[in-house]
Amino acid sequence: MSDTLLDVNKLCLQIGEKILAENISFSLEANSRTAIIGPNGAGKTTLLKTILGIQELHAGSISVAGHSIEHSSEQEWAQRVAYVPQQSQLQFPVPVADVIAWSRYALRGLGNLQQADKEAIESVLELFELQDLRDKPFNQLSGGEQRRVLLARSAASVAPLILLDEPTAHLDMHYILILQNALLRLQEQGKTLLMVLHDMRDVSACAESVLVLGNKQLFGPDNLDELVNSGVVQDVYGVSINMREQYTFEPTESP
Amino acid sequence: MKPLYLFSLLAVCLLLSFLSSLAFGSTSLADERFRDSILHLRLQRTVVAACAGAALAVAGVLTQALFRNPLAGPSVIGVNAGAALGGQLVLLCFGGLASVLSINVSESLYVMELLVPIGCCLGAGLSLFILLVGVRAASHAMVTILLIGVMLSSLFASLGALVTSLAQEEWELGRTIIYFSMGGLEGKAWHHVYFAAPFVLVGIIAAFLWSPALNVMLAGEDEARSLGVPVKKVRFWCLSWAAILSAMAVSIGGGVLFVGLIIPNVLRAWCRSDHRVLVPSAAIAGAAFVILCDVCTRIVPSVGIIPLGVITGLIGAPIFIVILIKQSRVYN
Repeated sequence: MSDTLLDVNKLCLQIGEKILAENISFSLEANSRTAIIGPNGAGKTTLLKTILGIQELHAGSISVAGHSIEHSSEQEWAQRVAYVPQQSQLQFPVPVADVIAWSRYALRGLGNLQQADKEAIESVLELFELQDLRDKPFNQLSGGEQRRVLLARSAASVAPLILLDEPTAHLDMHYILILQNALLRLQEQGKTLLMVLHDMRDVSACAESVLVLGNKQLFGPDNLDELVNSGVVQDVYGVSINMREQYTFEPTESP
Repeated sequence: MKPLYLFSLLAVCLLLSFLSSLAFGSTSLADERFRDSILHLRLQRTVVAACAGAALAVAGVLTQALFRNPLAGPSVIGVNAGAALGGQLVLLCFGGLASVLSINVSESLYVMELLVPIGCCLGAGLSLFILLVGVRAASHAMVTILLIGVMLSSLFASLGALVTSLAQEEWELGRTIIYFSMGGLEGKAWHHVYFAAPFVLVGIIAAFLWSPALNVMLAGEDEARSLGVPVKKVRFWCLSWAAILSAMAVSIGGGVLFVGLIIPNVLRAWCRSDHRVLVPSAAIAGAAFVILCDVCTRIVPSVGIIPLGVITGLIGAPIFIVILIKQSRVYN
């Protein structure tokens, strides 16, 4: 039996006065991969941002490894939770190695990087095969390459929990395979992954369990097949789901 | 470029600009009787120029990092215009008082020169206060802060124009206010340095200390927050220091344009957007740039005194257009 890493209790998801969902409670085991699915506007990104501390906590509690968000500073919380946004807002020509080095801000703050930080950065550059891009400005990379750098940054952080906002969005088949591979590497490193996904193929390929957010409630975590068979997914999306044989894709060489 | 090479190159530029500022001017150094006095006057003026340039350039670095926009400058937070309005109001009130008491304005310039920086600080302080109240009311949305800053700039610039037009009743006073608005270092002395230099020095050090946080802030506030940056704290202090640096620059140099905009942009590519390199580099380059522009105001043949702000604008605008064209490839 694994230890619980993330514990969310009676959370209220709210944007301004609008309540998106109430009484959200769930927990994630350490070293697991979990997807959050649900229709647009259900509050998936709001849930991620609330766990990150970007969105105000209106009600309920969140803790990671027993540490509560309310009793943690920004820097302390970033040592527990890392974030991979769908797209970085970075517009300045900052080298890839520096973007990855930002992951160590949570540890060092305004101080200088230490040898251990440099070794961690070198290690993820190698792990994510980014050595050739290390000096290239981040804003000149393709969307897929940028996503890989952001994943590498989360791997270089000391946070055990990584939140990913639609990591497969706008990626072609080749980059989706690279991403799936990268997610496995993150899990091998001992990270726990919680990701917002839209495409059911990605859900079955990337996640071990699924949370369904819709109708102002949260269902799961559970196996995707269970959630489909019990009709939860159909209810929140308002659609019927048929399983059909479909095109699948495999790497022609190791991505 | 390696930081050490960059610092060395900029230090040489600063040294050359410093020496040229001492060597060139409207009066020749050939006459030994006046040489020491002229050099002393030029030295004071050069140090004031260096303070103003360094302050504006570092204020530019701070605003560009906070707004994540290479087109942002100290003027976008409205503090430059606020400081200028404060200085203009002091000049107007002092001129009015001098008129009532039948004092000759040109004979009491020393008192006025002491009061103008205080007026600039009050104006900048008021502008910063309104901005920070707006930040709180607007739930800390960066776009709203930017728009409030631009509106404050327009508001204070309009009030400044009103003050300037009111001052035209008195020829001497009107001329003084217009000269102040266009920027200039004519008659600047050590007391200006004593007033501004401590704030400028502490402001540059503060900006340098915040550099690692400013680097991460380039990724946007949500991302920076997720990486552990205390975004609200960084924004409050960096906005405050940008405002103080701008106020100091305006109080000793008047309305000097473009320095905060072009210096960070020229250096950014060489510094790879690393603020630990960019802040000190901008301070040195800003100082050298304003000193050189001040030298131009003295050596370019003209009917009267060419305002410093005119020279920085004339040199700065074309340079900025070239940078924009070059960097459009980088940012796109």
